[in-house]
Amino acid sequence: MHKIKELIISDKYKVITNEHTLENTFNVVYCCDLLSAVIKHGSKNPILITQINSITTIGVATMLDLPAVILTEGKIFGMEMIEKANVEGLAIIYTELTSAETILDLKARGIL
Amino acid sequence: MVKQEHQIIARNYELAGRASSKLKRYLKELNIDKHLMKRICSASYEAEINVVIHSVGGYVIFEFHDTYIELNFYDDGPGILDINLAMTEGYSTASENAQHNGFGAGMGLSNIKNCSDEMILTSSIDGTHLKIIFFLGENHA
Repeated sequence: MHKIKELIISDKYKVITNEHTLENTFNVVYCCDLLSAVIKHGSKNPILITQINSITTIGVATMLDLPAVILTEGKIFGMEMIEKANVEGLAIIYTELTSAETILDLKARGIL
Repeated sequence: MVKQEHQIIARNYELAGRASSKLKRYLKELNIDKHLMKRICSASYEAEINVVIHSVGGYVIFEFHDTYIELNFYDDGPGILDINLAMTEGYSTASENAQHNGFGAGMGLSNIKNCSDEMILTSSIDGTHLKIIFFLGENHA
């Protein structure tokens, strides 16, 4: 089991939600830009790696109680979405890496 | 029996999932099994998104009974032309905008069916009714 704060030791990642979301835990990641596929595979409470910066991403993540969303390729969420994530205890992580690079990076660091 | 009704607005992604969020909050108050809650919320969110994406608008009625929970989604059309085809995973008539929001991959109805204990879908040009049932109790988590 890993904590979100382990992820952001690398300066490639930045948590843009409140500090308390750093304590969220995970042991699986799921990478996808199709939110129905996320719903289908959401039972293991994975971290979601995606480049879909829509309010629907936050909606699905909070509906499934996911611990975090890593938003790739430098995409950002609006303030309203970040506030919603804070209320729901969802961590949002920003990175300029692509989704594939993110997976390779997590693998190289032994997180996957 | 407790009953709740919520409006669902077509094409409004900002408010999409609002009814399902309220459902989740209520299910938490009921302290139901987490796995069952996830099944119910997943199905509800998919169904709500379907109304947002595909219809001219509609509403949902959540019913909380002693032994089961029933979700009824209604919309005012234009209806599903071929239900069997719509149930096929991968088939979609969703717009590009729906796809930009992460949906429209043709998985919604099959996800709902897999999450629920019973699902009944009826449709005409006047509208679509989707009934989803979840049984409560230890054997149904």
